[in-house]
Amino acid sequence: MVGARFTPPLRIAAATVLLAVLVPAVIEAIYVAPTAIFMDDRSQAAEVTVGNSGDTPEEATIELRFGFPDADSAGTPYVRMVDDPGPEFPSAADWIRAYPQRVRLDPKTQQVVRLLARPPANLPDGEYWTRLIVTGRGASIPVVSADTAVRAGVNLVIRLVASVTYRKGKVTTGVVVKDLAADADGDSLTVWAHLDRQGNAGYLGTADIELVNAAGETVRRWSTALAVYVPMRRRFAYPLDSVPPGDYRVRFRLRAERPDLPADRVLPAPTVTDSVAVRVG
Amino acid sequence: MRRFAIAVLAASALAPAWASPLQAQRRPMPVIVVPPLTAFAISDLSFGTVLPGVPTTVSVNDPHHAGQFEITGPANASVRVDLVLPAAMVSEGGALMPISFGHADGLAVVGSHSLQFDPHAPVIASLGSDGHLFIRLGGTAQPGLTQTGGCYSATIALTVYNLGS
Repeated sequence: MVGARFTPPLRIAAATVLLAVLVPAVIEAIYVAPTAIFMDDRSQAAEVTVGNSGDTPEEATIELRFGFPDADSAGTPYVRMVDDPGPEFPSAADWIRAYPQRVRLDPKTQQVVRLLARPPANLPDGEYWTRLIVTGRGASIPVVSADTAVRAGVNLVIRLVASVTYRKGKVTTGVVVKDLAADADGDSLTVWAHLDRQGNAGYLGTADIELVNAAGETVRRWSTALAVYVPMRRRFAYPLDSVPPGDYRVRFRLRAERPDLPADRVLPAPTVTDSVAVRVG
Repeated sequence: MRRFAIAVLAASALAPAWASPLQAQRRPMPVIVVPPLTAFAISDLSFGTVLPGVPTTVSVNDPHHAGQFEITGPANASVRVDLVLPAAMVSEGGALMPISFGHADGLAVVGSHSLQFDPHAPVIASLGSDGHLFIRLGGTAQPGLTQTGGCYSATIALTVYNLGS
């Protein structure tokens, strides 16, 4: 009995609930470059560019928190954030600082953020990690209702999470693949691999996965940038599209090559290969 | 034009000191130009005018009302995108209107491939050879029978993790 509670004009107003929006009706965008920041005991400073390529001002905050790539029990990758990392974690979050930590970005502008490291004097050789989190909060955008009155403001929060790596002394890495498995279900190929990191530094490389038919021809090929910081059982999933039914082999290769990173920052490691049979259809 | 501008900005930020023309004459070395990691909100998720007591659904395939985001970065970059979705929208006066997102209210598009997903779950994707990932978002607004008139809004958080380093 809605009508019993309103006079006619109010009834009309109540019937016209104007829903605004969840996202501003203008383009909002922030960016960070590079997405992988490297520092070492020779150059204890780095620069990161944070920018606003949108049409409205952005208020951005920059913070550092300890975290690293991992995989959950289903093999889904995520960045594991640890608020108070104990001594068992190689955290650099406590001794790398970002300046400034808050910036206002006008449309089409950028700001250089400096990272400065102040590692402990007795820091052992090795690699230390943290994550750079850039959070953009668009300025409040007035939402205009049908009668043109300004009624409310809405915000979208965008976070970009990049890696920060600090290396001291001799660092090495590598990866071992175990228990490779594959399954073709419907139109998807799923590959599982247990990945064990070697050495004292994170493994940065590329995973190449090929689907090879009985004649030895590669019918599909996928490549994914990969980071292995801790042992994990990782799942990879790809569309099979119109791959004909039949018996195939999945070739799995990890190579320490990354076209998106400076070559001198990608630690050398042997290429690792493995393969497993899979039936499609 | 916007992407070109970003690429130029990124190049200026990433080019090392020896990439200056003077140095380059003596020591020609390749300059790695890597696209930045960028998140765009291209269009809004808009329900327009709704009636009290009548749920209004915006399909993820609705080109005019579905929310659309674009993630760009290096080719084949591995990213995870998390959406933190609200349970309700709020009017200026504090009135609430429930909003829900179903298991097929998300759509991820990389190149020629698309995948519907539950927007409560993360999107794990390689950005593909062109370094782009598009995400579309639908949802359902559920105004009550006595819903107060006015504008309702909410905030969503979109987080993009670089999984490749």
